[in-house]
Amino acid sequence: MNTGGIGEFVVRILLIEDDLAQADQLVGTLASEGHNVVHEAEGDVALKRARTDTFDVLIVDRMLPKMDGLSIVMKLREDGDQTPALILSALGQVDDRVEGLRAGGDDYLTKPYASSELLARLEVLAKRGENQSADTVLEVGNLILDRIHHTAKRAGIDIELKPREYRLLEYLMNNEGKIVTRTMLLQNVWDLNFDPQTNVIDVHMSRLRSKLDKEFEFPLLHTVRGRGYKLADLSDNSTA
Amino acid sequence: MQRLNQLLRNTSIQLTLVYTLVFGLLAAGVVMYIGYNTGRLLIQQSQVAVDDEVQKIAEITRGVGLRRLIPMIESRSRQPGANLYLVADANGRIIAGNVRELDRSLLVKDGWKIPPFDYGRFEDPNVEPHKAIARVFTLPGNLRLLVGRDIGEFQRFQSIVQQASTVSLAVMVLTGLGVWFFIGRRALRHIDSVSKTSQHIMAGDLSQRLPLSGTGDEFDRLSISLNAMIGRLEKLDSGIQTMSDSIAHDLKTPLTRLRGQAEKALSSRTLKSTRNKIEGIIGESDGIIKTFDALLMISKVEAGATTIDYQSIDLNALISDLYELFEPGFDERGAVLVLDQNHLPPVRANRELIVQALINLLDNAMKYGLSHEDAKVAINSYQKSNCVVIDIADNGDGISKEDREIVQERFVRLDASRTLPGSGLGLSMVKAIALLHGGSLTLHENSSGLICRFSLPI
Repeated sequence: MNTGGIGEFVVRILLIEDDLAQADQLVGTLASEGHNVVHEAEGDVALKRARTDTFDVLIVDRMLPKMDGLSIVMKLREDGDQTPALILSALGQVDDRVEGLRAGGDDYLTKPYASSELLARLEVLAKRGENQSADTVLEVGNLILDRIHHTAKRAGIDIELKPREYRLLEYLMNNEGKIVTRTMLLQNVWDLNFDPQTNVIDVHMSRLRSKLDKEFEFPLLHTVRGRGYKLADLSDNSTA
Repeated sequence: MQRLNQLLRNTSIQLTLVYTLVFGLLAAGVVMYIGYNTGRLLIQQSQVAVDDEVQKIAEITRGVGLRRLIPMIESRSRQPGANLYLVADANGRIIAGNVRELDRSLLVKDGWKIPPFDYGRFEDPNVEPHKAIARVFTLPGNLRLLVGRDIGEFQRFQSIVQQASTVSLAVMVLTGLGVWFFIGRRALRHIDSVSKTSQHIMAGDLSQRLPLSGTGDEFDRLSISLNAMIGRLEKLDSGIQTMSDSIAHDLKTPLTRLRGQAEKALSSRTLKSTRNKIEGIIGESDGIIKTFDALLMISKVEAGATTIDYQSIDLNALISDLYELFEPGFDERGAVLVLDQNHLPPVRANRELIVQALINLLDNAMKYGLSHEDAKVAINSYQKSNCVVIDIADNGDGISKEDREIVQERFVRLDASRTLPGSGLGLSMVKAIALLHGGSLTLHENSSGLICRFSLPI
């Protein structure tokens, strides 16, 4: 199965979810991608576990019987624990996302969600620590992004980018090799939280692609069908 | 008995009773306190006067001897309104004075005889015994002198006080009952009718409203706000009714399609075609989930959820961001999206909801407004009196006047658009969002096409 880059590294996950059926399904999905999952159903036990053990990512269901999922995250943040947390919620979408992020969650996903969406976000979160660096230069294959001058070059040739295209490319390069979904792009590049009914994002991506890939021998920007996009050097001469 | 019980459970009568009791007791207490103190004062004054007199008589006796005492007592006794005087020998025989008879044992010992005693007077032998207090004094020759004062006046005063207390208590009780009768009973009647109506409402008839007395008193004010609450409930209730009808009706179609595809997937021969069918199933279920999400959002917005967070937002930046996001999409369809932006003041709104509303309008324009060549959609933002207005205008086929209202209802899809993907919830969501913010969504005819006018109060 083409996992689109997932499985290249193992993510150690603490899943806090009281619905056992959903938890089982999720553990199965995550394990089949090669991730290491610890599941806890009760809030207080989970909090203890998160405090004593080390994880790359927390997946926290918002509605837990004894302790609210958000308060677990808040308590960990108070302790200074910055482990990225993905909040899952069945609540409606009006303000819950904002609330979840304010409580210290790093990303928010409303149930029901596509497992591809969850996997993509998980991977981005897990690698956030290493990747969201203050590097002044980002590199993917022969593509170089200069974050001081806001310029991009591929194989030494300047690529003209509009401000939004620059941000789009920066986000993709920050998440090199990982699938990013359309909603992730809307949230992170446009700061708009909605589910696109039309292909607005795809048009932007195809414009970016024509600037990045058209004149070059191999593509860097890949469409992952039914999921999203991925920026990666998959050519034979790549060192990855 | 039961009626009495019910009466006693009534707040107004309870209050009336408590007030009457408390005020009655207080009034009676005050009157009695005054009466007691005045009485004491009178007795004290009498005592002082008697002491004075005894002093004088003693002095006179010492000076002139007993000879002149008897005539002096006799003359004093005959003065109008005179005190009590009595001179008796050691055996208790009355020698002089105005006292006809009294209990002789009083004369045995000297000193004050304070608890009032009965005595008879010479002037009016027929009336019942008088009451008096007196001081007994032994004169030389073992004669007893009694000087006293009638306290009939004091007793009359006390009986006046008693009468006053009784009358004031009676007045108090009558006033209390009157107050209850005219105010309490009226309120009770009103409350009874309110509780009768609320029983109807509880039984499910949300169209009923609580009666108003028309006086604008606190009961009316309470009824008015309760009526507003019932109105809100009625609206929500009918919303749920229509929504569940619509869901039953409109979700059946995609579910039927879903089932059909699943059956096909089951009978597919190749892995590739199975995959294709399953992808179709996922797409179809995503559509259903989106419909549910939209429905939930609409009902949350329509319920005016209190959890919605309002902030001051800059619509100018938001509109240009949305323009920049959508422009390539229109371009790709051979249409143009133009932006005619006038500076807007900040508004208090929920950003996510406003984004959702504007995106729905732009999505609609992209899906339904590009039917002609040289298709053009314009976003115009401007301020009009105390509203900010955002117009999304297309030059497509437009919507007929009759359909413009209907199309804002949930699940309504016009014939021309039935073949396109969509839930029929987009405009109802925009409308709900506008109303939540105190604004409006109106549809207007463009020279060719449709104008969706979204306005928010500043």
